[in-house]
Amino acid sequence: MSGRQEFIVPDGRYSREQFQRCLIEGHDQLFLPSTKHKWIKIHSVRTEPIKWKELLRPYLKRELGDIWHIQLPISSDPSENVNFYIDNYSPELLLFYSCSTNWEYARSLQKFIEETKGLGQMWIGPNKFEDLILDFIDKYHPTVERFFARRKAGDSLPTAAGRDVSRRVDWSSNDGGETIWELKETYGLRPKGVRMRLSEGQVQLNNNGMFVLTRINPKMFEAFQSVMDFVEDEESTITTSSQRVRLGFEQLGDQGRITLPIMTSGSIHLRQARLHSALVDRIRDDQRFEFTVSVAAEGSFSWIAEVVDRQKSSIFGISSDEQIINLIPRFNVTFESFLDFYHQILERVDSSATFNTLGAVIG
Amino acid sequence: MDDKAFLAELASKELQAEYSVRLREVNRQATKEFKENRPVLQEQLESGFNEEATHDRILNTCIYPFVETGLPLARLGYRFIRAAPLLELGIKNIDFLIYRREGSRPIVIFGEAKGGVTNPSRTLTEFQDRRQIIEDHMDYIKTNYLDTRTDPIQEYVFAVKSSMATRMRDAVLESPIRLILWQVDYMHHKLQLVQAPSTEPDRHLMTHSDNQLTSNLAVPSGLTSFENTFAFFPQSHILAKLVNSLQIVDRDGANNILRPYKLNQYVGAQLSYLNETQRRAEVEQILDEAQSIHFAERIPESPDYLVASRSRSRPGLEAELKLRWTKSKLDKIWTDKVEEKRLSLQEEMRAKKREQPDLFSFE
Repeated sequence: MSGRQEFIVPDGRYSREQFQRCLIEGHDQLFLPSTKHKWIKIHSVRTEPIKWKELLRPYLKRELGDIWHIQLPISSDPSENVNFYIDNYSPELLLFYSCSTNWEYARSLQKFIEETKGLGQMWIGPNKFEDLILDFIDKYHPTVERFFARRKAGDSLPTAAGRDVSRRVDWSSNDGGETIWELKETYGLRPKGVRMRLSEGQVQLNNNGMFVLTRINPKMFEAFQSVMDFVEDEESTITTSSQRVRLGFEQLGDQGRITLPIMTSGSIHLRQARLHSALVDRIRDDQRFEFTVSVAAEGSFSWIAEVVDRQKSSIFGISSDEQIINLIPRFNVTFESFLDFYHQILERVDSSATFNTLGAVIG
Repeated sequence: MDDKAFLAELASKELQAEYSVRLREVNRQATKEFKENRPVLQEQLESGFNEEATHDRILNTCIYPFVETGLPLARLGYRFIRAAPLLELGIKNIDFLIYRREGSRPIVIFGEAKGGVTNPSRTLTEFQDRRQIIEDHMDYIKTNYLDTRTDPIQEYVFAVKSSMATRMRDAVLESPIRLILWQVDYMHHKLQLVQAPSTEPDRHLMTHSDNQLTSNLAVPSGLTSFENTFAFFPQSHILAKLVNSLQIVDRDGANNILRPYKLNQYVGAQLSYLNETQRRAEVEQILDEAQSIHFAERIPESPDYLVASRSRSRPGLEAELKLRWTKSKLDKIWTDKVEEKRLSLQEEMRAKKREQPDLFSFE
């Protein structure tokens, strides 16, 4: 394919810092001549400690010290494979470096994440994402050049315009730093992606954990690090909790002959919204999660359902009142099903909702 | 006896003609009756299913705090061991078994969940009978469920909906039977001990021997619990088992496929306390029922089953399943009715034949 986007890191053993330095110093020489956009894209991916190596080893091309160079296929033609460099940023987080186009990413890494149990995108919740933008503006005083924002009908966010409809906008202007909040206030549009210009280059942040650095220099990596510092702590706590949600077994008895079921359930706690039937309908209207045996009762509101994650084929139960949505592991569960479901609640029901294991909430 | 054989038995032409005419009338009559009663019958089927669903919710609420290890009761060492103890011996007994092995003396709790009680004193007598059966099988229980030689303290719990609690408590106090009463408010996710009035001399006989368990269950606001710990139990309604089996149905092109190996795993996760033979019997029961109501049929030369609906959504499959189940049960009621009438007509005709003088009576 013409216009192939690619950079090649020379053999060697790299720590994270050495890897970044190699990118900065090697810069132009690393990119293939066909590369039109010499940017660095970083996709953040949630995983389980250690398990990721098992999942990705079949695609490993070179082990470069702490950095793994992998190739993911997009077709049966190996020459179309897409290169990624993986930095195991924290036990539950992988950063995939590449200069792939959206087209390449969607057919390689995104598809791989969707098809692989044990990998999930690092979604940043709406409130956290807004705070992240504010924090970034505060630290680096960039020009917000462009942003993408959305509102879904039924969002509890009050708007000056009134009118409960879905909206989306792709906005470009040099006063984006103001309009982004004006549009939120007026039309209830929440930012999903934002591109900001510093004198050293542009930085793009997306709420699905994708970051783009349009130039490669120390300032860009410093800015990226500040993003990770802001996001990572809280998000990794949520990931760890989601990984504890499971149905397990315990041995009991004089000879340990009795096997009995034990479980850790997950719990989504609504802080601002209160669940009701119409909201349940909005949650149920979904491509990824399917709901059966769903019974919602008004009055003292309650909702029970069985949920199938079509993507990861995991199954969990829901038992909810108007404030707590309890997630009960049933079969084949994997943490990213819970994380992605939680993210949907953040997006559609309550942007302040929290996630934890049930024991941590009421135990 | 089938009609052909019966006509031969009747021998006489007049009787044969009469039988044929009356048989048509019987069929006509049965069809008419069935059509008139159909809505009532359908309602009875549905309410039977709903009653058992309520029963499962009560049972689930009773055991949740003993399965979820993050909650206080599980931390006291209590564990849910199994539902439907003694069922494998063909004994339909109580609903659940909870056990605490640690402590100076082990404690075993036998529990019964009751959705509706119309006659409390009869229910109590029945419970007393079940208690006797358990005591008769204590050695079996110790060996097979608890894996212990120690004689545990035995406690008996009767769990009812909150709306029934006071009535049930009064019935217990009026009777010579002493047991521990729990009340379940599954809409509010609460489980609570029903205490006797402080003036009651037998008050202590209605609490647990472990004060910590009593005090946890006696908190005025009730203990938090949830009504769908497991999707189903061995004693659940067959339709509930079928509906939940939809969770593991795979899509293969335009078809929906039910795979026994997957069903086996799913049933295993929900009924992990059953042994291999019992689990297989559960799977067989589900597959047999799915076939007999014409919801699934075996794919030739394959272990798998083709679902008789191409619905692309699980809620769609659920609706189709319920429809087929109801139709099949109604058909069965109708054919049973016709058969019953036909057989009684045959009896009547036989009597008539006996009364008829035959050739020899003229001698």
